[in-house]
Amino acid sequence: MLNIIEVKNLTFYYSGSSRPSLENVNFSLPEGSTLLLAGISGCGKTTLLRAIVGLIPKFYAGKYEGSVYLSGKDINKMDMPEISQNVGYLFQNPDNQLFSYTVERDLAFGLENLGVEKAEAMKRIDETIQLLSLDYIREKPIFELSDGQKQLVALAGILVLRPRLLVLDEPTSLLDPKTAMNIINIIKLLKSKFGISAIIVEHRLELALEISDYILVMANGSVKVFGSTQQALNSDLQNYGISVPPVISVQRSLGFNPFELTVKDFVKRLNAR
Amino acid sequence: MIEVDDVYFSYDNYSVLNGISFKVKMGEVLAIVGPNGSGKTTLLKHLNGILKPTMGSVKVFDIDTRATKISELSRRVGLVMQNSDHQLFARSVSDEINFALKNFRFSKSEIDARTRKVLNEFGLYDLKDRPPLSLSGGEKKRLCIAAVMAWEPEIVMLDEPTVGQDAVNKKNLKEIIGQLSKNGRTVIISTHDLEFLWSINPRTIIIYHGKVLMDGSLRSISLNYDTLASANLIAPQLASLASGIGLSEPPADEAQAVEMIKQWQKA
Repeated sequence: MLNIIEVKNLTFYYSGSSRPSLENVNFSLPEGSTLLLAGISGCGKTTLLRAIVGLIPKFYAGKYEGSVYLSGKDINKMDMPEISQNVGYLFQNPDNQLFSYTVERDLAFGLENLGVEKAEAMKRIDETIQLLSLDYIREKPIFELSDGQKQLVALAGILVLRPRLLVLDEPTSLLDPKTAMNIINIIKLLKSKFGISAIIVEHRLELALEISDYILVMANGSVKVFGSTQQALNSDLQNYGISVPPVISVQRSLGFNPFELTVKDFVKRLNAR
Repeated sequence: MIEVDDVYFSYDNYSVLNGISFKVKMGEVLAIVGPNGSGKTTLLKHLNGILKPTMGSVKVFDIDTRATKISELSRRVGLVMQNSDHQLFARSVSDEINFALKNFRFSKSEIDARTRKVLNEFGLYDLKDRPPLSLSGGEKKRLCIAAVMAWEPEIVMLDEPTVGQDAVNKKNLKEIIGQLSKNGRTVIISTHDLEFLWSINPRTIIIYHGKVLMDGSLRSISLNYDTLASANLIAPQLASLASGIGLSEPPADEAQAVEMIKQWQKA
């Protein structure tokens, strides 16, 4: 199967730092699958995301070794417009991503930049606004939005570009649980309907497990665990500061394996006995 | 100690608080939950006097917030903001912490001692000379909390403290909340993270459209699925697990859940 992302022997030092922020990172992600990226804060998750989307080394100075391939192509041989048509990167802080006056203008900005025709651009904006239920704030100035609303608008801003890979740095951190669940369901839908791949940083594992095909755990800049979701849940995640959701630890204590990833499925299994 | 009485507040023509009332006792841990845009942050800003009600009144330590200055109230009511970048500005992590201490005119030795103490408590000591804006998202959050804890306000308000925090930091934060409450301080937490709150089981207020929708212990309100759903909340996993297999009481923690399931399987 074609890999959407392949990272080979990647090491990176931010300039002025004597410690590597990434150390010999290797993994590949098959097209159409979802990867959950986990690890304690400061372990290098955001740095790895920056390298995957080419911001490192293009916009961050430092010592760079190894390579990143996007759909088989060396990311260092691609320019930012080419990367951004294939990869949608959602920043951790939506204030760093939004800058137009209104929601609709912000969604149009990326499309105009890539020279998408007006009719097509409007169609995509309409579809995305519908998908994320943003109609009620379409004409609103960005600065009047709540942080949670900003996070949704920032996500809309990358979805209009129709990327093949979504790179999401804590996409639901500011959202209430139901809205967060909607986002998770949208990622699920994009995957099943359009085969879109995703790499997600999410500390609330109870939300993310359901859509994760693979889990990658980092510590001190290097990969400690990489495998299918079931494989990773069977390894010692607590050694790397990760606590599994209650539904998983309860199944562990009861000796259930493979694990049901949601309470709903676990209840079903219990009641079936 | 805090008395919010029929408070209304609007930003221009957009009403956020619509007749909200509740009281908080000294030493209480109170969680404020509710959907995005329900008025949680606006409410917190009323409790330290940054915002004043359009109608109704807010009294903190028996002082009407309209009759006092923010500078006086903020010494006693500390707010850790939701967005760390809005709070951080100093040149180094240490300076960020001792800025308020200098402002509040603590002695030099006291400033040093307190700065060292919170640097250690929040795992920031190795980062003390770094510029705050170069920290990771989770580290920034810890710094914001540490900077407020340094001057030991009587009321500590945490707006979304678990955002960007990994399991280790969440556990640490839980201990700090427990410690503060044990020391008689009042802690008010605005959050969406009901899983985080579960083992603390604080008094929880659900606010919706700027009004109190429900008020009770987290475990008791978690059984009201319809109310939770109407406020965009999802019941914590142990609550939905319990109700999924027909238990009337949700387990307090995972170990208890395992025991309850074993009993249930036998029956």
